[in-house]
Amino acid sequence: MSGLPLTYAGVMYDRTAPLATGAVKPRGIDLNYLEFDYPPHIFNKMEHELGFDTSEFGISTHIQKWAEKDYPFVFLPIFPSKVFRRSYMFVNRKSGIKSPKDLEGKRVGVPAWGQTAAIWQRGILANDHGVDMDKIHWVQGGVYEYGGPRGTTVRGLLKEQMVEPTPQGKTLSGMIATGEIDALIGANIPDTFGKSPDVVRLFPDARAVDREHFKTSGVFPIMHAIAIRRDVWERNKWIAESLYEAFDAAKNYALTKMKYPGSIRYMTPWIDDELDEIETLFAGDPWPSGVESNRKTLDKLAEYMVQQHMIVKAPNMDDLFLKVGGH
Amino acid sequence: MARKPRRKAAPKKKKAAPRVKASRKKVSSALRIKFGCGSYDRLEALWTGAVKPKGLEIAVTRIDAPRQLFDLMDQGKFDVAEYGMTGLVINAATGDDRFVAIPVFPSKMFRHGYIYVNRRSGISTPKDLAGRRIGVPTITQTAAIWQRGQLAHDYGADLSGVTWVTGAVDRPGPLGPGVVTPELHVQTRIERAPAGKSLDDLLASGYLDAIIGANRAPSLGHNPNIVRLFPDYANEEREYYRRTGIQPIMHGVVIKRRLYEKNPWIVAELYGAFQEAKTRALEHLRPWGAQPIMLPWMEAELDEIDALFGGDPCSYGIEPNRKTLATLIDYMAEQGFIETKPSVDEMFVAVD
Repeated sequence: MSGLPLTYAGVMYDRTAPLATGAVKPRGIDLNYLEFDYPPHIFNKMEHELGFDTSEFGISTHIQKWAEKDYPFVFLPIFPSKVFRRSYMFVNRKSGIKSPKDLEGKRVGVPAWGQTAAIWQRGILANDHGVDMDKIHWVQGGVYEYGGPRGTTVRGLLKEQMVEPTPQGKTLSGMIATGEIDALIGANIPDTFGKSPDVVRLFPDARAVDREHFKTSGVFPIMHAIAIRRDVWERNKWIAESLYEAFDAAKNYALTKMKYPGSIRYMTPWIDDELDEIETLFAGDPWPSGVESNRKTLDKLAEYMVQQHMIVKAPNMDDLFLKVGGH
Repeated sequence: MARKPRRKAAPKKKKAAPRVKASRKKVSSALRIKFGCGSYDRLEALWTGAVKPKGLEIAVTRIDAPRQLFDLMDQGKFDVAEYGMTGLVINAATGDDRFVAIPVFPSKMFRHGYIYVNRRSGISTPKDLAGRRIGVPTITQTAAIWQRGQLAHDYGADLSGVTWVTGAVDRPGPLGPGVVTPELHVQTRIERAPAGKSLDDLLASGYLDAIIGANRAPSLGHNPNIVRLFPDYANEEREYYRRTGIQPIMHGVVIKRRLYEKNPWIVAELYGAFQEAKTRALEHLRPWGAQPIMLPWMEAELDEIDALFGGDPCSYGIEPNRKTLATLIDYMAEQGFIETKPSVDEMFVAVD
């Protein structure tokens, strides 16, 4: 069978892997799945070079830029990456930070101030835990290797936001261990965690806190969605529906595999307990597709982005995604 | 920014196939072997070809039905296969030498969460199971042997007067066509489930007071009368593991003896490949930035894997599993499956 050849760039998640193995094939498309390990590499190549026909893409960038003239992408309401983010907030034990409020007046590291994980975390800290974000001193740079944005302000914001770049040769992982920063947020786990006794989680029982908030808010933070190059879509609009169906089917395939009762599909010893919770808390599917099932989460992110001076006002999420899946 | 894993180096792709020091017969072309197993993450690299043992070409057949898998191995359909621990121990104890086993354990599971009771039976503690009518898919199922042993030893339940009722949990009839109830050396009352009824039906109707084994009762979560004997089973299991160090093994891996005797070098190659495939799967579970699998609280799971299992929740080899294996052998002797206990060491061929 030969279909329309399309490239897709993404991380190999359980929910997308069936598209790589061929267990799920998008109708009429020969999908060439290009596996990446580090999402920013995908986003850079897609955003700046239109490097793929379709790819995973940062949701906050999309929310910021979707209305720009000549915006070169259209989006599917498929969300391959979602992560509860309280477990990605770390503090140095000697900083005196015992609760989120104690972050005020402290030096907090972040790999990129504008990354989606950090937007979620600031929003959570400010709204759920009453932290005054204006009282944080931000230090921006590479978590594992020296680098990252070098400027002293964050670009592309509606209000000036000062940041201090990491000093020459220093990493945020190292700085949180030595106490040169008091805390660290973002999408990464410092490699000093588990090695240095001084690097600990801000929320030691992040799971319980995230769970409680999810019960009332229904918000499971979305990191990425699926972008299609607009020109590619314009030529063959039918691919949107075909890709949406395939991503959704791949997700369902993986979910079914995970629920396989004969033994544990993955080596997490208490996967049964997790699966029970997926039934009770997530109605059987923690990764639903479509705008409607994710509206509370998407609206919450936009609300946080307004608060953080990244966008003027929250968009109607229906305008940000192609109409697919019968919606 | 270069990619960087959390906590440890994560070699991913294009890593050389495992090289295991072993005397190896020179082979001009790869030896082709048929391997049957379940679709588990720890074996995945073997069918994707990401891990290739030297001198072997592995054709993998994945079957997500353990009983069927073991039956096919018994029928000689595979050269190497995942195999139930019960069969493996019985083979060793009775001198059945069709296969040799290697200490690779693709399925390890805590089973406290797989004991279901009908609330109306009045059972609220393990001791209440005494003298009851309890469903079990097959009397030989490894999960059930573990559960009976644990209920008796850890919770003081007297199961000697129990009537065991065998059959599939989710459909009428036996678990599989090949199911034979063996003669046990300890008097045990075993009946077949009445025709046309699944164990789940029988539990719901009150004919059974409980179900044990490896299968989830379909009415759990749907019928309010069907509940777990240990509602907080995950913590019960954690406590059990902390106390005993036992992580119950369900399945091992066996090789046809004839193949092994002609090619003893394959043992070290296979063992190395199993280890390497597992290592890769563990690395893949480590999210860094995004979650590889759809468990919303993956971070908490990984913290626990590190804290409780030293980073490897599926250890292979005899030494880390010695107590677990010895305990299973003890339970099987007590329950009448074997008359003489094989030693842990004699059950496996040396892998290095």
